[in-house]
Amino acid sequence: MQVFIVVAVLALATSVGCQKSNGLTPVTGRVTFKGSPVPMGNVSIEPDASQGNKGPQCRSSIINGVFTSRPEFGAVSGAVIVDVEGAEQRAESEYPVPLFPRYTFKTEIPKGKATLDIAVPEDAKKPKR
Amino acid sequence: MPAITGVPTRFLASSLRRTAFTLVELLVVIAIIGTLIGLLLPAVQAARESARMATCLNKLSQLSKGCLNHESSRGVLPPAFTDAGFAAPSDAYIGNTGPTGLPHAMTAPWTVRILPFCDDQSRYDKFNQSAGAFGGDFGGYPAANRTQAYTPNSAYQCPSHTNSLPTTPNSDYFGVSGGGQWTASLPAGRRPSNGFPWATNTFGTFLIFGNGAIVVNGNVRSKEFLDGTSKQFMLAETRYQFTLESEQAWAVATAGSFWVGRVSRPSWAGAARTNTFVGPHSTTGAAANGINSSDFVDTSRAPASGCGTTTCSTELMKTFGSYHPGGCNIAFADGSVQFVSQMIDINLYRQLGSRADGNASRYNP
Repeated sequence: MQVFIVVAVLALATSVGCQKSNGLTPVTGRVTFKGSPVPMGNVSIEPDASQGNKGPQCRSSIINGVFTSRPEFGAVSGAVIVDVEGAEQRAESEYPVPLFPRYTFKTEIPKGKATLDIAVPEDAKKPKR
Repeated sequence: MPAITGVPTRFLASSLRRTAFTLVELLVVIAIIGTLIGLLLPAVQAARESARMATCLNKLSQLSKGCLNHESSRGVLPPAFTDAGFAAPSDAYIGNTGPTGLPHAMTAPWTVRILPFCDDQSRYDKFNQSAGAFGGDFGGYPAANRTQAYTPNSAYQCPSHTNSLPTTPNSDYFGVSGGGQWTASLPAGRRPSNGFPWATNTFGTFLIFGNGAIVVNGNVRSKEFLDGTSKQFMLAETRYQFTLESEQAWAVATAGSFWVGRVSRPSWAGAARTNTFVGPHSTTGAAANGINSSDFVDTSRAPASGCGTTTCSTELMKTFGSYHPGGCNIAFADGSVQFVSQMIDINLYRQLGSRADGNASRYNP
């Protein structure tokens, strides 16, 4: 009897907890421009090839000033290039109106978990029309 | 006497024990069976998905053979479509304001051009090649080709894509028009005027890649793949072409605009933009953003609020991806088809999308 239970427990234990980790870092953060949250946009985190870093792109939408990477699409750790696009919806326009040109900067992403708060500099000029 | 009465009692008791299971024994057996089924079911589902993936891979393989046969017969790979208003395909990137004046004289897309080479001459003959615009913009397809464009073609549908139905004329396979980052390396003077390749507010400002295999006005030959045809994407799977008519979403409330309420329906036979800012042409994409990188989930139709979210963008419509777990199928220019992982290095991915970038890296899964 006890043998049966032990076998059953072992079978359960081996079938659970076999999930692979892809080695990517989940990233979340706030995006602000001129002190207020960016309503919509994209944050793309890519490995910096010039620093020899490799890996997939992590692309997340900004929703009400916050972006969160999807579970299967974390960012690579190490040297990365971050691209930020921000826009807002205005009543007079059908399309989202860009708030600033694509803002690019380099940074480091640690292993494990990361928080990346981005304050887009105000001197990022408003795109010409 | 006690010896006599004791025998049947013991016999009775022992026979009862032998013919019935106790509750605990039953529970243990049920638990073991449950565990085994629990182990088996995911394996069955995985086997079914791998069968669907094999079907998808075969479809993509057939289409890539069609493209290569087109090259053998006509001398060049099929162009995405041709339109005199577009810049020359030799440009690494084309970011132009598009031809002014309507309608555009866009010819048949690659998806229609390869039909005779995919054993579908009869369908090809039903298209009126001289009817002009095959595009889905500004009034939709010309009447001569509308019926055919809206007739679903299962050769372009992946079985794992649940929104690809026998009633939807969408395509799950795009030509690869190039590779690179959307704006970073654009030549000066060719950047979209507002800094975005998407969300344009002026008619016709858009960005398309012209450095790949299936290019607008393209006359690309295999020998131009200097990095090697086995290191060059030709066709790729996508899940980002909307499957349903989306004119409601795109009906712009600008009174007097010439495209108010016009039909903009994606089709496997679409040549042009499905909309000004949604996709320069609806049957090619680019290796720009990573596989499955868009977090846009419901691909059946565009968001009801119009382009109210940034996920509804030109970039979205040009991204490759699939509902197969972990990547998508991609046909290389040598005719082989591989499942490419979404964990591929983004820079290698972009190099594989562009021809003659001088980088002879190969995809090693």
